[in-house]
Amino acid sequence: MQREWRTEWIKVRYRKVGLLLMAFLMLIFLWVSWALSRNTKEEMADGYRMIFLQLPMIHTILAPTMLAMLASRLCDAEVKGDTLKLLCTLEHKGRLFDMKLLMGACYLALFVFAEVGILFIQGAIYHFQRPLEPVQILFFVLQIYLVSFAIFLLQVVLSFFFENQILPLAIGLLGSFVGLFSWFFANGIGKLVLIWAYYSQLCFVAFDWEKETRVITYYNKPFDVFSFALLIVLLVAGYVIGKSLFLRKEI
Amino acid sequence: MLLQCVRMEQKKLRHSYLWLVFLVIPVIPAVMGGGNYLQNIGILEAEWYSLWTQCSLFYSNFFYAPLIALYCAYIWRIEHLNHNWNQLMTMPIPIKDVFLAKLCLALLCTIALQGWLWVLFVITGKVVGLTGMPPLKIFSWILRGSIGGMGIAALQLVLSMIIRSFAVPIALALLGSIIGLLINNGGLGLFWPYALMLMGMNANQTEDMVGSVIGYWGSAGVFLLVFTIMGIWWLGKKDVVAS
Repeated sequence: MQREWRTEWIKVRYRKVGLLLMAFLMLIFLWVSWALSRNTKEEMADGYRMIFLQLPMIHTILAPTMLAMLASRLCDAEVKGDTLKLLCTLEHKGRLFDMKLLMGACYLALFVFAEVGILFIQGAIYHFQRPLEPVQILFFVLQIYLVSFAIFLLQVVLSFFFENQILPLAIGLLGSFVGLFSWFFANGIGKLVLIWAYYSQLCFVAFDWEKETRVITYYNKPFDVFSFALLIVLLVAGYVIGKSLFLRKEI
Repeated sequence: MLLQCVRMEQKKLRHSYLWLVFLVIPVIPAVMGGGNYLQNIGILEAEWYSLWTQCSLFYSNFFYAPLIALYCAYIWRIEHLNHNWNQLMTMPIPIKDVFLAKLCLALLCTIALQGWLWVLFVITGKVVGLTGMPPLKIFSWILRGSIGGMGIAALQLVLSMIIRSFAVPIALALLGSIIGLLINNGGLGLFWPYALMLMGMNANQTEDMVGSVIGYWGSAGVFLLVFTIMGIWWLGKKDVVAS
């Protein structure tokens, strides 16, 4: 197990995967900073809830393409290098799949950790009056991490299946589109079957906009436990199906 | 020779399913834009113009650049694989024609994509119950967007040529688009290639986003020219890495 784990890290050496994720992180920081800077001091009082609404929306646009790229990069050694046949004679085929997921999970964990950092940095810069509720951080991490991981799982399966990486990346782009529009549609079954829509589905902050005064009021809404449970089911089912497909894949 | 190179490049793209991607993805902003228009019909009163804002906003803001990046990355991917760089560079073809042929395809793709978007826009308008045909002004925005898009296509072609990964240039295009949104809000859109599509398409604006027409055309032309020269120069000067 350790040997395979080390091998995976050797495969991505010099591939600058972390650098690209850093670029996305920087962009998220800039985007949030820009969005916050457009608000008045009064509006900024509830800055944390503002960020808890903005970050998932930004994620909906960026993450599907970013995760498609991450999965494609991680699977490059096998797909582009055409080394699956060789690798699967040296290590257990299923474990290779697990290692890819574990690597993605590590990158994602660091990414989400850094995003929580962004939250605190913005709080320190703008001194939001309304305090941060610890449970909000927990909801935020669950929301961003699990949805991103589910998308990553889908992208890994696609990247392994299609030698031509157009399709996985196109599906990543498609996911960004679908996810983005899901914010504007009412809740329904359609949203629950689309994995990219879970960023909006699990959002725990909502807002009211008064047309006359143009004032936005943010408020907490209950964390959608049903959608969360469904996401876990989708994740487990996706893992079982994805792994069995990979095990049965002719190499 | 250039025409022959273009034909060669077209042959390389056969059976790539690229057309399917370009056919399907623009349908989503059209469908979603139409749905959004119907949901907010009380606020959106400018008919075709309102529908245009709904259909073009996300496409020109976030998705055109990654889409064309996908196309450019695929054009170069063929060369990055199977030692094809060596074959390409030893063929009795002027270097500039190699790059220009690929550029021609990327530009044609941009025009076709914009044309498809127009068709989808008209269909969406009819489905949501708008009467008559869209104003010609919107058509001129589509054309103007295509001109802006050409600079992006040239830049993506250069990036995909230099970066051997298929996915990285696409990710960079997405990053560039979002930075373009921020830069455009700062009023400096003319100096950032990725912002030109958004400006040209006049997405989500009632007043024209292009303040200076000469400035816009100049900027789009300069970007196209600079990236084309850069691409040809790089191809001629730098040694290839084939694997």
